[in-house]
Amino acid sequence: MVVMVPDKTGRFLERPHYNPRELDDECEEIICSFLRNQYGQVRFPVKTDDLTKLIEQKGAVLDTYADLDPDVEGVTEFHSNRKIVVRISRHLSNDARQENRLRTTLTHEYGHVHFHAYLWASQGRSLDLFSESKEIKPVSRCKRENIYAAPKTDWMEWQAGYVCGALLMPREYLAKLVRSYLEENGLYPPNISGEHAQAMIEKVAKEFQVSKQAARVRLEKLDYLGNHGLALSLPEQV
Amino acid sequence: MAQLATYTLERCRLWPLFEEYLEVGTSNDEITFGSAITQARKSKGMSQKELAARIKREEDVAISPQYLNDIEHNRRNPSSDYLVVQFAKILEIDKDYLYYLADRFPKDIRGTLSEQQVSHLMRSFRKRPRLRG
Repeated sequence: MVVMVPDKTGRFLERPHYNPRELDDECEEIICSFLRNQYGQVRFPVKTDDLTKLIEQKGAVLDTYADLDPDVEGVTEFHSNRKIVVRISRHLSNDARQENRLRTTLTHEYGHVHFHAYLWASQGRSLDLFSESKEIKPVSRCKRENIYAAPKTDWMEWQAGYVCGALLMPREYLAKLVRSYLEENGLYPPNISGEHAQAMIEKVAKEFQVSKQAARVRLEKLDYLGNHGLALSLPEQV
Repeated sequence: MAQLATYTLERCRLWPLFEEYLEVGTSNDEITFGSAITQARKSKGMSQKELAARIKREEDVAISPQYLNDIEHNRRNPSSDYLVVQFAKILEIDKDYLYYLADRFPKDIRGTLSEQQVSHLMRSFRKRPRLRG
């Protein structure tokens, strides 16, 4: 169950603590509803263009060719007198070779808009967070290394990073893919360093149009990639 | 699932505050060419990429998504009357209104008015005529 806990970063008095499964469930609902509305069915990979629509449907202003610092790929700004603004580095949008990174950045920023924006509205007013005299600014600057694998010390970035994977590779659809691979190959389970783990990573990357690194991180977070040939538990059947 | 329902209810309880926040965020924004076409685009469920593909220059080449993004964020203006008319047509906005937002006079008026006529028209604009009907 989601609980509110003290926010040690000082951004808010309290902040939500999500169980990863809760994030998975909500993200799966978000992306599947979107796809059904758009296309009448759920199909992957989610188009990059659709990710921009997802952000704009939340009422945010999206700038996909923003001039950001070299190590910053996305920024979400919460303003007291304007709409939420999401800025994506133009270097990502302009480079076709970086489309996967663009996709993870878009979903990461969506995570901030959907899961964190209401906090500024609910707690920001009482704390007067929009005052110019306060040190804490309602901005999330997302650097390359934290887009889908931020450390848990920064709860906002960790949650947005988790959402990134959960939207692009929804839990139950990933489970189906993994299950079919294991059954086809008579496996239970793959070893993280084994050929089958690599093959599974490549399969996920291709199916969901993500980088191999993002696929690996997601598979690890869902405990599909084990160590030393230990048995893994598969999620419940769909 | 019941726990997720409780969490969702909590989020929903706070959502009106967020929607109010969004309304406050938009009520003071000046309408620009960029904001007008953005709003129209979104109301039609189009992405920037989709709209850019439909806006053609006179040489029948679509504008780039980056150029459209720059226009929407008021970093650039439409470079020709032709583009203004294209936006008006695709987004179903009155082209005279878009000309006004783009700080342009339509071609059929430009250069045809005397100084006195322009002064008179500007005085009328400043009076902000009421619409009938």
